[in-house]
Amino acid sequence: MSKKPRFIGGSDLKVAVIGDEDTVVGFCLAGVGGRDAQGRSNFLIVDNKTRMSDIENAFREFCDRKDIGVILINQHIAEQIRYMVDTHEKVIPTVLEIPSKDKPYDASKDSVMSRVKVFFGGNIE
Amino acid sequence: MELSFFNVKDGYLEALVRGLRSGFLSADEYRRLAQCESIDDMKLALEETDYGMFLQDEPSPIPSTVIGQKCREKLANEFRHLRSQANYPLSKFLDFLTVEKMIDNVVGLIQGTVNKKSPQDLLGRVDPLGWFPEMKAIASMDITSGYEEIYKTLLIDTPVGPYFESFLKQVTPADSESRSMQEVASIFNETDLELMKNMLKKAWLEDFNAFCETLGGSTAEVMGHILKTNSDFRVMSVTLNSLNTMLGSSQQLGDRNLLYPSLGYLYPEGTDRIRKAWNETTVRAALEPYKPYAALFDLCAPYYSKERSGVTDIKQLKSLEDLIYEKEVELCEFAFEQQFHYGVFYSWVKLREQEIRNIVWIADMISMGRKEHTEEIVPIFRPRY
Amino acid sequence: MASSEQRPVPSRMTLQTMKGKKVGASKGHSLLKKKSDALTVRFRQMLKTIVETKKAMGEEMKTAAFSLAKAEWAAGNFKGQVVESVRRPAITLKVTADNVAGVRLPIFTLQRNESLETVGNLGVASGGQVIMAAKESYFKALEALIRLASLQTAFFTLDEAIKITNRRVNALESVVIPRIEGDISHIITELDEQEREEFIRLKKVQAKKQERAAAAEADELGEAGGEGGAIFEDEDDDVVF
Repeated sequence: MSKKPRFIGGSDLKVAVIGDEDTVVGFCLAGVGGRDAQGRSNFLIVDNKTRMSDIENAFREFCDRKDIGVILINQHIAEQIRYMVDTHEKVIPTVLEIPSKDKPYDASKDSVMSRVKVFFGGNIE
Repeated sequence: MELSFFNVKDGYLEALVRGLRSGFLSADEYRRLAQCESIDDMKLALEETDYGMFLQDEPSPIPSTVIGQKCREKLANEFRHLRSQANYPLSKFLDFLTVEKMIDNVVGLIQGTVNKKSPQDLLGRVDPLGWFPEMKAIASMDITSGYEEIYKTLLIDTPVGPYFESFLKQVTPADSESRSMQEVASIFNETDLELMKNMLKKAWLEDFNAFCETLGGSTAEVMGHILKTNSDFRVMSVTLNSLNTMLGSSQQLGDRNLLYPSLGYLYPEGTDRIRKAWNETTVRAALEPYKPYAALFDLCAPYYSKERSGVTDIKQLKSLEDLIYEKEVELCEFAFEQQFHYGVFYSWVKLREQEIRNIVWIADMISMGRKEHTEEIVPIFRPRY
Repeated sequence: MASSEQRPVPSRMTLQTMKGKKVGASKGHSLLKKKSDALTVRFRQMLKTIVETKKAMGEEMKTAAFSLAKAEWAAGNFKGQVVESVRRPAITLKVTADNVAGVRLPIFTLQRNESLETVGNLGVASGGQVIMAAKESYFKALEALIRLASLQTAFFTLDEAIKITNRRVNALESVVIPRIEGDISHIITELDEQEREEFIRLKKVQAKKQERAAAAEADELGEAGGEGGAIFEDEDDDVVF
């Protein structure tokens, strides 16, 4: 809370997606995808050829961009860069971990859920 | 005459294809696939079928898209084996089969290149069946130098050039014979690539049909039936899919109507009637005289009606595609009942494509853990009782 | 530690200001306590919703993934096209703020600009409507996600705000107020001390005065009786021999 949150006013924010092909395609279909004149997009398709550093860079870029309000990230990808997700402290953009099609959602791994869990005495069921 | 000479040139290849026919997954094999717990299980199950070890070099976990792509590669390899031994006119017939995929690939490449995707990425996702050497040139061409290069590459270097030519003729006024580069550029810019693709496919379908007619004999008979039915399906599909969308609105009916091929059992009267239709009721009325299609429409109409939003059991409804797939499989299976014609090659490719769709669907359902849906496939050569 | 470094000057005036400070501090304390309670109430309500929405989101995503598979089945491989045709996002987020006890919580609202959607004619010859169905189900999933995003940012903001407020409450309760109280009691003791000193001093002065008065009386008496004695007595004080 050291700096005043900057979310009042300002222009509309975008949703960024880091995920496997299906997740990204789905949300692009819904209309969140954007690509500007420089070819810079607000999503990253991660397959098993994607390097870890690419994911890290994309995540860092989305966190630093002023026009992004929410980052959706597949849980299994968040696992790979867990240290970054866990240390992400900004209120905006907020990071949401979402399940991918082949991996059901596991609440115990989610860094938000693990914080929520504390308040339930370690049991969220 | 035709029967007695067919085997001289094409007998061997027909025999090959009929041999490949027995490679389709059987009901038992589908059942085994559906029982798999994971994609890795499925990989093992597929190894026991005709697909063999085609996935063995893939690092696990294998996404279903990769499985699909690998299956297609296998199909393309087998297809190429046939193609390399064919001579005219079978060779040309087989080339026609690849052109459809080429159109997909070319359009995809154009789109990707415009978005400055890396050529490797783009070439990695093309359909291997529609692969041709000039594709590399498209993927790596420099978009910044203007559309002149695209124009040249597409119209001169590729097998789909003629279709692009006819497409350009359709969208530009007839009198402007010498189109400037600028005009072509604006066409590429403004036309919806999806529409362009479908116009190209329509041109291909008409061309293919014309070619089959020149072949005569049972090929013309069998293929004529298949292609006509296909183009009717195309008409229905375009119509239904544009219902309640921008394209179905009265302003854009013209655009939609450009996509209707000028052949098929519906053509010309039925197509004409449909051209004027703009909603479910009018489409139904237009199809009324064509009983099989009207029945087809009735089966899938609930899926397309406006009120379906809010219906929760949408999954139980069948879309037109589900029905068309079934019909198409039936159609192609029948093609194997006759001998001495080229229809079997077409049918074999189409059936393999359906089989790939089945495999991908099962893979998707398994990875999502929704095995109750693995039954919703269209099995090929299912035993008839 | 409450009062080691600097003692305020013990005076009636400082005592007065200190007392004022104490009143202020306890008022602040009770107000902050109330704020913290209000935030916590809201926070607790939210925790439940977060967990529920998270779970619902899982389901929603499952449905969406299923419908996408369905679309692929019907329309073939259209995924590349979707990603390639992306231009400007048709969905943006508007951010407004909700005020809970002076803490501003961001709320995301979806804005959908249909005219920017690029997939209109996708799969027109096969599976177009199925793709649209997939699109709708992803849109629904997205709505759930955005609700969750609002909750989550609120969760973080509130968490932070509660921590800060509690820290302040605790600081007031266990540092500021004890220190002021210590100061006040210190001042009071000092003042009492001063008062006692003053009293003793006055007593002393009075005693001296009385002594002197008694001596003077004796002198007067002695002058009448004999002077020498008195002088001798005087010398007796300073001269040692």
